[in-house]
Amino acid sequence: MFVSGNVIFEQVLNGLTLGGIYALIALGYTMVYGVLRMINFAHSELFMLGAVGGWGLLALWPGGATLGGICVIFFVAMVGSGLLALFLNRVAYAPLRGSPRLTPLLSAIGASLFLQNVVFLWRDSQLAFPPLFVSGHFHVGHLDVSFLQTFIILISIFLMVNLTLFIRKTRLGKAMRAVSQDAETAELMGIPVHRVVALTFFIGGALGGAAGVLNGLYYGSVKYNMGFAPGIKAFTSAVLGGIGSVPGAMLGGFLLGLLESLGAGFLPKPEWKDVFAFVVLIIVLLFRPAGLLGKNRAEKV
Amino acid sequence: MKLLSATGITKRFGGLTALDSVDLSLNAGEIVSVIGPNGAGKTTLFNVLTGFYSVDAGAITFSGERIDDLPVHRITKRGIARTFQNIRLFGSMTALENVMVGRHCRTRSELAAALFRTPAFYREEREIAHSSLEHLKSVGLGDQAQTPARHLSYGDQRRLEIARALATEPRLLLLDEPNAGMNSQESGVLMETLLRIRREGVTLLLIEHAMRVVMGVSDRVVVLEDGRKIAEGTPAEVQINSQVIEAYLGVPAGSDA
Repeated sequence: MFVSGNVIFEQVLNGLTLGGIYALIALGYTMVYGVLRMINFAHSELFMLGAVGGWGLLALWPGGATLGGICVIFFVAMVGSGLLALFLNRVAYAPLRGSPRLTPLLSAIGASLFLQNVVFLWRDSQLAFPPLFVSGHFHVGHLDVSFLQTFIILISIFLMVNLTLFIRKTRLGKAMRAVSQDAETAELMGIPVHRVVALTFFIGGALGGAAGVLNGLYYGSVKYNMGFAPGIKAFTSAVLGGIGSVPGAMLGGFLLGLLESLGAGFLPKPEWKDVFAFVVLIIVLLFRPAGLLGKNRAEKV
Repeated sequence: MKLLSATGITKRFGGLTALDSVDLSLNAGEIVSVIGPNGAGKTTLFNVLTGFYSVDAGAITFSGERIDDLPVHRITKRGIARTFQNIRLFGSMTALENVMVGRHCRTRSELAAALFRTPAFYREEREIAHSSLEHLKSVGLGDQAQTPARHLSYGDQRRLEIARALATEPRLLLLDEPNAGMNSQESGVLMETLLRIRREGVTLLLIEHAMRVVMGVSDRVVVLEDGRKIAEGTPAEVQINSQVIEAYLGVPAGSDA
């Protein structure tokens, strides 16, 4: 098989684009797991609703396909998905706190089906996401670089850098880390744990909403069931990086994106890409069951 | 002046009565120790006072206000802090960050300020870091500020727990076996630290097994056995109390009790 440097570069760029989107979604899974030890399986619908919301906004407002417009759309999608995550926490999870671990899991699956079907009843077909101001390519030497992909990668990195600064440097970020390490002790330090949990849902949802808009831009369409596959992939990324670890989710997302697109580019048939990506996941977990950056939680008391 | 008054505190776990109408009252500025055999209910008492457990009966008043129905973080904000028998630091955070988390309830910057990095936000973050470092220095950990908590020595971890608790600016500090695992020299430093904390206006309630520490710093001693208060008084009084001696050493041979 003929492999040129150009093809490799293209696949790496595809991988980083996909990976950025996976990583943004994965952060929502991993952060909520960090503070509650629970997988929010309705998280993929926050991603879908961010995308569909972005589409709806652009349909209402055709002038939105500009730089200023896209900022507004990102803002609305992020705040919208964030508020929805808060609502979900309030109605589907908070009332079940303290119940067996399977109960909120079922509630999450129920919430996921509910949200999908609400959107399905509204629009059951593929919805075309209008192309934005970013289109075409620019050249770096012999290499073709897509503006859109560069835009997606930069936005996802921008969001992740800000999240990291927030968690590392601010008082609320420290409160989140404290709650995820030991919620009881954090509460004794005067931290209102339920509010920190709500904040975590909001931030996770907002990042998922942003990923939804990026995904809509990338594939040019959105649909009520678009959350499923990226949701599973992002959850996988979070596990690959170490569930509960924020840098882990970022690393896992980019790694899975790269594995997938390199798999698609170099395996005999592109359909093998998921097989390849998941085989790597299984191998990693065999040797590092807690994920690449995860901690083994067998601490003695 | 009465700082804390708990009356008729009862806590049951299924069929076990861990605390059975216990009364406890603390005057501002006192150092009081709670002693008793294992399983007497000492740590349960701490968990009740800090709001971890709700009481089944009884009332707790802290500087004149009922606190037994408040959530844990609100009780902290009213001014009760504690340390743990089995150290519970935030292991992957630095010593300084642990103390900064303790400052949380005394600071206010909001999410919007953090997101938009307002000058007030930076000022507050600087103030938190500065005052937290002072707390670290006061327990002798000034040079360990950037060490992750789990890499500190055992004695330093105990000291860090005290610094973190003090960062919440308590009026009442509950210390659960602060002397555990310390050698006699460290013990001496600990006793000085306790007396200094009291001089700064903090009332102290200790659970402690080391009699040298209990007798050395306490104004009063409360003795629990099987969830009941069996004695209370000055260290000298408690030492010669026959019920206390029985609880610790068993019934003397030849007595027919």
